[in-house]
Amino acid sequence: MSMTLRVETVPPVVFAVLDAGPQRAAINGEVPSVSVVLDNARGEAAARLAVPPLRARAVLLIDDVAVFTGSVQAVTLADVATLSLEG
Amino acid sequence: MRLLSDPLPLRVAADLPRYRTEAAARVLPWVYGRVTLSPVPLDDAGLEWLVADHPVVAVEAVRSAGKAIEGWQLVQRLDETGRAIATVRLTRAPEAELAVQVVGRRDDTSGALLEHPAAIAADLLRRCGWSPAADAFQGLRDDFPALALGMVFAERDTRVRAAIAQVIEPLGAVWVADPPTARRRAIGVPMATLMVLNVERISAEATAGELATVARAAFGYDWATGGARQAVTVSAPDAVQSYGRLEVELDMGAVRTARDALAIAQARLAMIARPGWTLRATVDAYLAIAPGDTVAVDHPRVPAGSALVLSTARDRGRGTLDLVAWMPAGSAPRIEMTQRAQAVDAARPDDSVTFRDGVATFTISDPAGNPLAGAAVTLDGQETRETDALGRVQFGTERGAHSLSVYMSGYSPFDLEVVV
Repeated sequence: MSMTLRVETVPPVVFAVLDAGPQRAAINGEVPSVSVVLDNARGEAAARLAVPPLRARAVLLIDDVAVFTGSVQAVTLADVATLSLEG
Repeated sequence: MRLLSDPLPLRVAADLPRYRTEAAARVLPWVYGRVTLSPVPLDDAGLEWLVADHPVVAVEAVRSAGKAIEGWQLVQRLDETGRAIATVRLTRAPEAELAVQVVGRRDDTSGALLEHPAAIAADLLRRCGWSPAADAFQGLRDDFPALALGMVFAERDTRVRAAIAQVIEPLGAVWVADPPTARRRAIGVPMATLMVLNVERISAEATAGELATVARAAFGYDWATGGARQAVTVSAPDAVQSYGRLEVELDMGAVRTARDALAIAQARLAMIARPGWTLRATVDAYLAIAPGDTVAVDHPRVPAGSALVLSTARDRGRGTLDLVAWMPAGSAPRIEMTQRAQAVDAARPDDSVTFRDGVATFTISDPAGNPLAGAAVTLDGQETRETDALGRVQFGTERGAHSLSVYMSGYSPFDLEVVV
């Protein structure tokens, strides 16, 4: 199983995904959301996300099938990079 | 000496031996710069009104129901407890709400009007038992050399910290109380570099919620009516295209002129109309870094650049320094003004609006109060007429709320919200 994240900036960028958190959804107005974890051990994500793609549309794909589409609400960089997406 | 978390030593009317009963809880105001405020009645006859709980430079006008009144006198005297106060004495009681245009407190030593933010902030500390140096908050004098504020402190339980923040933070500046320093919130020359060798832990976070692409800055607060009289709107067009129209309200009520409000709003929007990283790092304690400093960031885990240090916590036991810093991402956005608005209503002074037999007469003036002759004025986006030599323009219309758009060579277009 391969997971990728396509962020639809201009031009679009594609990241290999280490892990994706639970896809959350609830009634009463809470929007669906998911956290996507990227490798940042060598700082590759930090360099590519130097200007964070906030509010950009992003698609999480598993084996090239889109499983979640949302906009980037937050980016956190540390040992790993975490992008929070909201549907 | 009061702590930053203590309230300002403001008095209320009931602290005076003589006051009007229903005004017992009114706070006796501290006044800085030029302001319009609602005075505190001292007697049942309505003939003496306190304008400040200290001497003032002058009272420029006294108004009742928006009309300037005659027959008043500024009296600076000691109250029955021996404290200096400023009052206005009237020859007869006003028939409606009173508003007084006051020029506030002087510097005790130089006698100069205290209206610059550095002077106001230092004086607040002085009134709370601190001994700020003559160059306290000097960075504000460097960054805003000609800025004049108008402020009133008349809220019970206003903390010293909140009072200083009210002066400094609307300007987009950062400050430290001890020693008293402040400067514009901007990236400067790096004092140190955060890198693998001296960083134990580092992370960076950027969130969409902190972005704004359009800012409306309300300024020219009127303490008598309790609202800002003017507003200016600025936008970052490229950021609007990238992130959408994300509006934010900037409260800068103490700022008095459109020029100052525009400059501050543009600088503040430039900081938030592009993404920013909040950096959290644990570094070696030997790094001499203080809040307000700029540090260079050169660490593989986070983007490279320059960051403004917002706070520090030095752990002498562990030999580390925890810091939070802010680092802008991308290039500085282009900012432009999109709208100026001024609130006017029929109860305001100088007959700005009159209505008779279905005809409304508006007097259009610049921020200094000078009539604007030859200005093109559009009522409710429909009919356009030109002001006469006295700045007056007439429209046949109905009573109610209307909008006026004013275009005048040499001035930015501005909108007026009027009530006829």
